[in-house]
Amino acid sequence: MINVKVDNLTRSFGERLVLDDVNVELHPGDRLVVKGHNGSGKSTFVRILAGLLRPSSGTVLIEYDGKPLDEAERRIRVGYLSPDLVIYEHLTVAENLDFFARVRGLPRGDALGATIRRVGLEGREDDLVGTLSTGLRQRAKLAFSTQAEPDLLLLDEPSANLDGAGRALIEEATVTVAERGGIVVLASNDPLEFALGTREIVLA
Amino acid sequence: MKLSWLDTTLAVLVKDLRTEARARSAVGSVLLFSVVTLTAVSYSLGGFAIDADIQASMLWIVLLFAALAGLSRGFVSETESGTVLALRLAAPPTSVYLGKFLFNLFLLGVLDLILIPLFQILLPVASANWGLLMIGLVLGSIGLAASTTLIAAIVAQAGVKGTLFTVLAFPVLVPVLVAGIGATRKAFASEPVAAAMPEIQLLVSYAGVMLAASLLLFDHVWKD
Repeated sequence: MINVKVDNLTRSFGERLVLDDVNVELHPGDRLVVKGHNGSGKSTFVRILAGLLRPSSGTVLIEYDGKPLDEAERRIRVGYLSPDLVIYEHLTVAENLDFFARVRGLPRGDALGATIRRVGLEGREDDLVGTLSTGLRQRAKLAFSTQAEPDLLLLDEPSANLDGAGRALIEEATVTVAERGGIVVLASNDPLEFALGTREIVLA
Repeated sequence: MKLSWLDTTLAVLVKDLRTEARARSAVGSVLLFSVVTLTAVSYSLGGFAIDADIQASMLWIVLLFAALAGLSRGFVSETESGTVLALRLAAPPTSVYLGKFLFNLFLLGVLDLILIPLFQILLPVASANWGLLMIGLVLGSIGLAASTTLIAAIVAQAGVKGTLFTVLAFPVLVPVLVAGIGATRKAFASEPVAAAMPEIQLLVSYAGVMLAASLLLFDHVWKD
């Protein structure tokens, strides 16, 4: 099972301190909502958990079955969805997912079809991502983030540009991960998304 | 789920080839730059006969500048389009480097295939050791691709990408340029392969060192 421990986490960009002494422990089944005003460091916090940014000080420990995740495990066990995540516009939805499955060492073929159906993109799998609407692209990005059935799902403003059905997919993804014994971290300013959490922290 | 580095490397290469076939961002700039430069050089020389030394230099200058014009695209397009984030999250760094290296090698191969016949039309070489010319071009292309792929990864993180790429790449590429010109000059003078062994050894060493160094350093470049 997965566990996350964040100790005395700080992160600065130049002179500007964005995260100041953040501490949180997350256990299997937790769904943490990260709140805070614009510029409070929500996205930075999520990016550090994803391994995309290093902390300025403090530690972030992500363990699976008592052992720290290595780089290869992180690519499979951690899912990440954010507004700045982009998948290949010149590839189709299916080609994108096949590429990412291949580099992650995931099953292809039928498994890809199941992922595409799960995010409601059946019938659009052969469309170039660049030709999809913003909402459908967000669904394709959700497929990228969840195709490995991650144990730690990191979501930054996940419902942006999604309609009601799309929001339901986000809810389903968060509940599924938590029910499997995983952890969800959701950074948001959207009151509808706050309801997806079981715990919360507020960044100042 | 056992990952094979070869499979993941080929996945990156196939993805880049497929994207390039649809977007044509790198092939277009490399080919256009080389054809325009070669044509301009040919017209500027007019009817003057030039010897093998100058012809070899001309060929490598066109190759070098075409490489500088297009070989950074592999990484720069990932950062410009924003896909670099997904690639960092999903793909092993070594496979990213090797996939991009093979893609750049493919671009240089296409460039060589188009440039040499065009060169022979615009700046004809009376006689040449074509085998030696090919050896020099293949080894030089491997060295060029190995070094420019790493430099492109560094430059892709910066703001002024084009200028920085040229400034960083030029001093690193001087050895391959000198050895490539030397081998090509001997090929244009119809000298045997044995006569160009010092240049061939330098090109092999350069390619080996650059590949090894890039594989060691790429992880740090990619993560930071």
